[in-house]
Amino acid sequence: MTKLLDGFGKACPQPLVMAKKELEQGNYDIAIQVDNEMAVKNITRLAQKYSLSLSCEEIVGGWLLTFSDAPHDKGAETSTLLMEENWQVSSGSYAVFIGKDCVGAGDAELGYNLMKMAIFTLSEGDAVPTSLLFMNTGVKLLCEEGQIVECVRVLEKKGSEVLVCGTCLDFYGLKDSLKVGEVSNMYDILTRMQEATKVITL
Amino acid sequence: MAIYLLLFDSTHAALSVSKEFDTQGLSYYSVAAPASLRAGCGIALRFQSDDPTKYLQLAYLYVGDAMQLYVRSESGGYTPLDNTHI
Repeated sequence: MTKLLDGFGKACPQPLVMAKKELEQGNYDIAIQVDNEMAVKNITRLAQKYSLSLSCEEIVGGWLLTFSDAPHDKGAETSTLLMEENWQVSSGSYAVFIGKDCVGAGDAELGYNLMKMAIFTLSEGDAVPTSLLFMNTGVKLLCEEGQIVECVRVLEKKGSEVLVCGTCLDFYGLKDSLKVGEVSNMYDILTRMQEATKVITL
Repeated sequence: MAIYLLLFDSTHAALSVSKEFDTQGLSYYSVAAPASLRAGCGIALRFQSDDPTKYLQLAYLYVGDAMQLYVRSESGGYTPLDNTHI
């Protein structure tokens, strides 16, 4: 019988944590009701990560997300995933954490220019980061067209995942201004850090 | 269009020119100066143009001779240009 989780009224990323807890215990036959789009996106990503199919139904006050009862073709995918994980480790997967709109502390103008240079340099290279993680004033860098947004788009095309803190966008009133990247949460951002072989903080 | 690179003797020079380029709406990238080129400052401004004169004249107003212009060759390297055609 499908277990129903109630994510109504729960702040991000609580619904995600609730669903993940069940999956970690091997309970794939679950459904969760949520009341915000960010939770829908987060849980959709979670389902993809676990190779589970997910149906999304609009209900009164939100959405009902229902997982399939088991990962499809789990056995075949596990070995592939393991191979991919090993390859990523051996090739030195890394994440870049950007928690400010400038590099270092000191002169803001110099710091901002250093940030432009740093992201440009990353975008020119072959060994692009597996993920770019933006928090606090770092999210402002992605809300105005220009060199940084262009270079982050290049990184995305080269395979980098770009996660942007939704709480931070909300705090700075920039939720509708994001030009590139995916609105995310503390849970996913920390998970990417834990998964990476190393994390570079700019 | 050719790709040009402006290097500067000091970071202050690079920042004041980049600010002026922004004000004038000139398109450019702030990039790290290639290690193979000697410069006092690690910030270089890269731009693409048929005619670099406008960029150079503007830069010259702010930093005079404290800069060096390079043009990118097909091989990806940079060749110095003299600034006399400013």
